[in-house]
Amino acid sequence: MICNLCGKHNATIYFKGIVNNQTIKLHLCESCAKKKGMVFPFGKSIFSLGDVVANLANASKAETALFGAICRGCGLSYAEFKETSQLGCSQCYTTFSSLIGPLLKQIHGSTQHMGKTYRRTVRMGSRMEELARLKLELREAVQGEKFEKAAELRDQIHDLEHTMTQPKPAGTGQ
Amino acid sequence: MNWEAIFKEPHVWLGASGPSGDIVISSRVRLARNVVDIPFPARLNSEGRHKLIEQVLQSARSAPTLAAAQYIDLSHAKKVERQFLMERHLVSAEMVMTDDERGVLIAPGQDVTVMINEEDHLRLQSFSPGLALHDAYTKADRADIELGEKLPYAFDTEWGFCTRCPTNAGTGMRASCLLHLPALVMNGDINRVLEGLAPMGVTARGFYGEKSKAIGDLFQISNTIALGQTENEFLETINRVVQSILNYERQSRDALMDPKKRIAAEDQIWRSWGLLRHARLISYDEAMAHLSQIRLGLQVGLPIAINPATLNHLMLVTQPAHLQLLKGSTLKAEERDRWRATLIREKIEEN
Repeated sequence: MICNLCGKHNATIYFKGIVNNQTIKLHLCESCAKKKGMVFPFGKSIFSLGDVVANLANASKAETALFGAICRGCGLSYAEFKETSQLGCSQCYTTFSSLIGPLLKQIHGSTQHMGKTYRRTVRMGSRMEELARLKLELREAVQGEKFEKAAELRDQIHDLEHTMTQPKPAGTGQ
Repeated sequence: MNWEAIFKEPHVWLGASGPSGDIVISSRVRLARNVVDIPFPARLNSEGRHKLIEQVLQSARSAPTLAAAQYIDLSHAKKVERQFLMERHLVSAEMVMTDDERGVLIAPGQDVTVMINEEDHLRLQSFSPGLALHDAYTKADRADIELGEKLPYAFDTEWGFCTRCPTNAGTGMRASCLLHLPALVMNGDINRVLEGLAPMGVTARGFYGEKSKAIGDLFQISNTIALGQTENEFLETINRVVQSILNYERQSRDALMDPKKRIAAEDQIWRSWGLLRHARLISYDEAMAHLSQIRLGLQVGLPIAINPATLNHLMLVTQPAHLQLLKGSTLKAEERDRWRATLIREKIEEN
């Protein structure tokens, strides 16, 4: 089992707890566990479950849902993203979308791109492009008051986003 | 690297003077772009980076703006050569530090460049002399459209262009003007002026960009946000801010040159002239500080025996890497200071 946070090291600690009414299960390596405030029973200090829960409780719901998420496009883990605020590939924008919206709002004071648009029709196929196309169609559908079509598109977008945010099975890190 | 050819070509940022050229040296626009489905450079291995370079070069060949561009493979360039390119603002400071698989395309005229495998896959840059942000943007935009037809960019209809750092997301644009503000530095008002910029989403950086210090009273004014407005709106904001800084600088120059008080400013300028003509050792920072005074002197009409072209040339070639390439060898700091002082004296004599 690979650590859910860094996605690099072998997980040696299994943590299970309830935060914001959600059950959290985490496989962690030693260094990530230390970073999250877990201290080991046979070390100098005592395992401090209170700290861990406090630490996790500080995280928003959007964040807890992303614990252990790893971008399929580049292998960037949630922890790496949190630490550096840098993305690893364009797909990270979808993988960590629930965190990126608020982050963009905080930086730019807006989350709606108003500048130059880019639409390339030559090669459609990647999920990223598919998602962009669907969002564009959705906007057009809403503007044209085609609500049935819009609802259909919304579901498609939701499904696509969902497939992109599933944590990677262990051991397939790139 | 065939740096001589680049060296000989006059660079736009210290070349002919453009609109408001007495204060605004140049305008620059940078666009960050990434190719979809390929991890950003920091998460690519050497093979992946190499492939990306190939892909970009192939696309550039059929892009009219870049078809005749010279490609420089930075991984095979010496550090002093990379620094030389940075001193000309053709590559960023980040690209000097390592010899990873990176490169830069430089269009004829050196006014459009494309850095490959910088923080993002592509960093398109364009320059125009003076206060001419829209002109610079038009050039960058053209190259961007041409490349975007060949390369599938990562773009999200809601969040715009996807970049490694979320601060660049959206338009991916950073536009800046390089300003020469000696009078505001001299009268001490500069900090007050620059501190007022933040609420407008604009910031001041040093000569070489982010985290660099102001050398020779040169400041870069650029946007800090890139999302939520159109490119034109961002450019207009910077334009307005620069116009108002221009006015402050002009007022400060008038005040310094007020007939009753001008002797103090004149004294300082003439002292710089004396120092440049006679110094035997001079550091780059010191040289730039005095060259800046001479630039001010010329603009307020003091009869200093140097023509503006020579002055601009000196501001460029006294930079450490330029100096070493001219001399043909790596020089220690003290040797550089000696050679720099000699070069300045010679150029002033020739004049």
